[in-house]
Amino acid sequence: MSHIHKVEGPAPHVLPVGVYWTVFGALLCLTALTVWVAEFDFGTMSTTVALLVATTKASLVLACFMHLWFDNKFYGVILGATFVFLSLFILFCVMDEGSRTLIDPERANFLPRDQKVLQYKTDHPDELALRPGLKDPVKDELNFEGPHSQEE
Amino acid sequence: MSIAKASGVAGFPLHEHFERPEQQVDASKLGMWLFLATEVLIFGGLFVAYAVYHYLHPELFKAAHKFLDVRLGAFNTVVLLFSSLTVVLAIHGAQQGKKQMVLWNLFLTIVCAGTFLVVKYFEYSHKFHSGLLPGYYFTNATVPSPDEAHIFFGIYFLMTGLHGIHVVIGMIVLSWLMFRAYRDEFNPQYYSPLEIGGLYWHLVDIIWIFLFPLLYLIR
Repeated sequence: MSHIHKVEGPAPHVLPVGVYWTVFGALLCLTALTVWVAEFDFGTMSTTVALLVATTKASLVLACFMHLWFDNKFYGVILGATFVFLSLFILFCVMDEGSRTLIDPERANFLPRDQKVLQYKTDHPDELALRPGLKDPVKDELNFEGPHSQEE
Repeated sequence: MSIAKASGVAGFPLHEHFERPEQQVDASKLGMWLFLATEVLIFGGLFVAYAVYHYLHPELFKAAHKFLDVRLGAFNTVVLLFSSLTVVLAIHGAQQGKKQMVLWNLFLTIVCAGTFLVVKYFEYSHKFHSGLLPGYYFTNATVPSPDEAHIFFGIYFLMTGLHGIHVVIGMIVLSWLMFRAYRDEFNPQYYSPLEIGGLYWHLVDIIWIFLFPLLYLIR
């Protein structure tokens, strides 16, 4: 076991208690806001609005409760780098999924957006029987809907 | 001097491999922030799964999320936010040498964590009884597009389940901190374990801050 010596420690960085209660109040207000805002339909912007409110709440917790604002800035660099790589991870995965219907299966090159074709190719011959919602890509060669919008 | 002997004496317990107390505090915080970065990336994998499946099945997510209770989700959000407040109040107490403030606030935090898990238990058992389960076990026919709704519940159970495990671990960490505070191991010069444990608990809160709108409030 390592040896421990009792020494004079650094003076604590004390914030007034009122700061914590104020931040808690702001967090409650933002929670109410995000529930209230979810009642309205902003279309594709709804998720963006919800994530903006959530990011604001997380920033308050990080800056004040987790003391990031007053601490060594290097901790913030670690966290920032994490979020940069996480965004890349999410962005590239969604970009990949979003661009698959743009590829021409015959010539294996990109198509203009208005000439989208169904290019779902199944590896398992039984898959079409298992998933009746999915049309046969060979028979419906010019299906202008993506494979995922056929459910209804 | 061993840790056991060192406890109970005021001052900063400086380990021999550190030169100054500030260096020891910085090292422990740096380690914790690196650990939190890996935690964010663990949940990041699940957030990617959520993003991709939400992108592919927007209508499904919209329909399936109605089977979650927004009131219970919002209640749990408030409970976790309050528990984050009690953690910082416990640290505040330690900074001023108020032992009772540390103990009571840590106790309140553990009670909040327990409340969160009890609410989650009721939510989960409701879903088990309604057959709203991942993959093969999904048996609820009242959901629109039942052949694919299991995807949403797979993601729901993985994300909230991993978060729930973190809450349980948090309760263990907080109980350990309470035990150490009871043994007078913290003082205004030394309260690093409270800060480190607090950082973990705030991360659990932050994850839930994102899970709540993404799972319960979809449009």
